[in-house]
Amino acid sequence: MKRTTVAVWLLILTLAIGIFSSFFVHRCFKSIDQLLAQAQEACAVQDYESCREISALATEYFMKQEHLLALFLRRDYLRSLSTDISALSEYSRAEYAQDFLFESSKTRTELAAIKHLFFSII
Amino acid sequence: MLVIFLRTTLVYLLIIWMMRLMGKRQLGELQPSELVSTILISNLASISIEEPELPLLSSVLPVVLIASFELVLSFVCLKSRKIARLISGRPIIIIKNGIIDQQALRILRFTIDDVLEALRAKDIFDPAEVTCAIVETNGSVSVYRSWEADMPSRSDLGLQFSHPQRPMMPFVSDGEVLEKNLFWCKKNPDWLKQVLSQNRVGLSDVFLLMGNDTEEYTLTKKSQHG
Repeated sequence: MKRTTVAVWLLILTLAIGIFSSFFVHRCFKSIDQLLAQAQEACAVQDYESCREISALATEYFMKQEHLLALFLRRDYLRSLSTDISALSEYSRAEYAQDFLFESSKTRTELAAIKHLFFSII
Repeated sequence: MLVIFLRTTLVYLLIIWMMRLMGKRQLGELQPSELVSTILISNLASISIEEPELPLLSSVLPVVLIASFELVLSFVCLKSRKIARLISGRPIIIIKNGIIDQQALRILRFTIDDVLEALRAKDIFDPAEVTCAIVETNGSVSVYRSWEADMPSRSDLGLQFSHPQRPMMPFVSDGEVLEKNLFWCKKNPDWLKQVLSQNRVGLSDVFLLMGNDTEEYTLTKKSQHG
């Protein structure tokens, strides 16, 4: 009976971790995606100062969450994402506007792909 | 490298804990669900050791989950025979009164060679000597020999009741007293002290002391070397 009780508690714990990880990853990726979308809008209206600030905000947010994300996601995916997000600030200038839009779209696609891999059952 | 060392240690300790949690059933002959969980756990455990890119939780969580399912399932099987039968199946008789049930063998996909091998493992070379042979749910074969072919017991031979009633049990193992065994064989610590003083040894010098409910015992002292 004691073993069964421990087993039930372990089941509850694993379920709780699973639910927490789902909410956490979903929330993080949604926030980063929203920031990147805002940065793209700022770049489109040629507000490069805001674009750089928002990109820096996205980078800072990702860096803060990266250690927790590493508990649930493959490190090579996170490393690739980290590199892409960090580079965006450098592109937020008038002469690199097209590059910024391209890189930010690529990063958003990568975010969506990783999110899909994390949540897909098959 | 240190990461691999830490991961391996964590996974190793986790597996030991899970196997202890699942109990002796996992170490003995396995039911189908137990075999599945043992195989899965061993494969999952190696994943995070082989692939440092993967988070440790991706190995740990499934292992804990499988062990928990196994425990909960065994508890449910204890309470419900229907579910136990669904999970583990039921024992099947393959020999009745010396006659092999070929239909049962076909259902089990047992060849006659498998049956003969199982019987030989029980020191039976002729299926005609078997009253009943059952294939258990864990794949082992239980055999009940016919009266004529079975070994006679002491009562069959009319032998008088004789001691000992208890088997030889370890009373002291590597200097540690096993009191439960002592009391089960109707002995006590005073008897133990007496034996030790008769043999002029201290408790810490005893490697093994075996005894039963008679006065007979076997004492092995610790060797000087190694």
